[in-house]
Amino acid sequence: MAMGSRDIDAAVYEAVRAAARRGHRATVSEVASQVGAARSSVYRVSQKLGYKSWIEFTSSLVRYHAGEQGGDPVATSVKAVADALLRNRHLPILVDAVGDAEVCSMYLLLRLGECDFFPMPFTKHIAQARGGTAGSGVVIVINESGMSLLRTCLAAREQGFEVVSITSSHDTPVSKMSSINVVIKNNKSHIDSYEPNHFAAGALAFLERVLYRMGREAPFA
Amino acid sequence: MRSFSQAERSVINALNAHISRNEEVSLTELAGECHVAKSTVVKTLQRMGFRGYQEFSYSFRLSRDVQRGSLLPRDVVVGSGTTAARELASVFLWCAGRKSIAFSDGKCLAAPLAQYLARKLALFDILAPASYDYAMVDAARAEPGAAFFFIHRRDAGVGHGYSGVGEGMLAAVRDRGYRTVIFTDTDDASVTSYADVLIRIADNAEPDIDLYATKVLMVIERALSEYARLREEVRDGDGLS
Repeated sequence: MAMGSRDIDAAVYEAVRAAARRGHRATVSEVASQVGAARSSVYRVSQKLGYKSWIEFTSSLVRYHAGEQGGDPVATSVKAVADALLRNRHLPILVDAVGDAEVCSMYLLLRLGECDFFPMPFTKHIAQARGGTAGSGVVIVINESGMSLLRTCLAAREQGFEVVSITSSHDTPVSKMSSINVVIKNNKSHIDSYEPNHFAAGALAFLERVLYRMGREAPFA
Repeated sequence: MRSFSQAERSVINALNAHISRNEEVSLTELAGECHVAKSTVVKTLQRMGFRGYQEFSYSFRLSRDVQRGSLLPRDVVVGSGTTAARELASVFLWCAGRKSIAFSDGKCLAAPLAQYLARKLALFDILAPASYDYAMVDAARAEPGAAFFFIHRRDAGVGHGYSGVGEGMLAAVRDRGYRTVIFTDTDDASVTSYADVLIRIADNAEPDIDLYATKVLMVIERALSEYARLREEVRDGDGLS
């Protein structure tokens, strides 16, 4: 007996939720195959539920269930960045930052050097000299707006560097060009009614946790 | 490694335009917009290091909102954070129209912190360049303002005493009439005795995670907020008189 529209909606939702609980974003094809419905019918469920797209639907459920499982987003991000740096321990780590975050760039160059890495400031010419092949190293980009350092990301990608970014939103060009993007909340205000902006402080705290984690996993010389 | 082609660049530009407007776009829409085949879009993304369009869309799966509450330390200074911020804000007020210095000596943390403070104060029209030059403290042409020092306990024993202090600089700025502001996490009297304003940074809750620099930035940010309020009050007062 064929399923009714409401049955399909419920089955689709259940399939997406089950995948989300495993931390997996189900694709339209996967769910269509699982519930035995057309892909177009499956896709429409996301719109019926008020989401703009399938991606938004599945992403929301994955995030919701990540929280339900008590996942610590800071720890997850720290691990991701630490793993990326450790994978590239003997390769160049180039750092670029702008605005308030410039302090992070200088700080990271000092701290990574102390921790037996090969940090350098990012410039197009250094990237060209040190890159050129896949797996050239890592470029760390710290850019509150996620706009200003897009050129850095493009140049880094072109030269085969993995890009790790810290921005104040995940919906920015820099974020989307990054293989790992960490979001730290900012607080922009007018200079005459200035409110504390802890973006740079948050980025420094995050980076210190990354350094600590790396030191624990692979003790520095 | 070859550069991006014209078609690849047009795909990247179109993607960025959508992203900056917070718009999600499908593979078909993007290909149509750029007048290229879907395979060109996919190949462009693969050149950028993604396995395909779907992976690109999900590339922010690790991008979580790292909440400030769980990342930033609670105890920033010893004593009241509000008092420290107000005290520092009143120093900023004193600095307006005077010549100040953010002391950047030492190869450790003082330089980036001094540059941060100098840049932020410049946004408020306060001149306090990051420098380690003795000539900077010669106030012959301008009234001396404040001298800011960043002295981290971790740097004890580097060179002469504490890195970030500089030989004789503390005494030099005091002799020339600067107000001395010291951000430090040490109680060493050889350092703290020079301070007109001592911002005593709290010890780290987790000893192996060094948040001294984080805390200094937090104090500065809070003080700037206080200063903006104070400055408005002073302006209003001037207007009334």
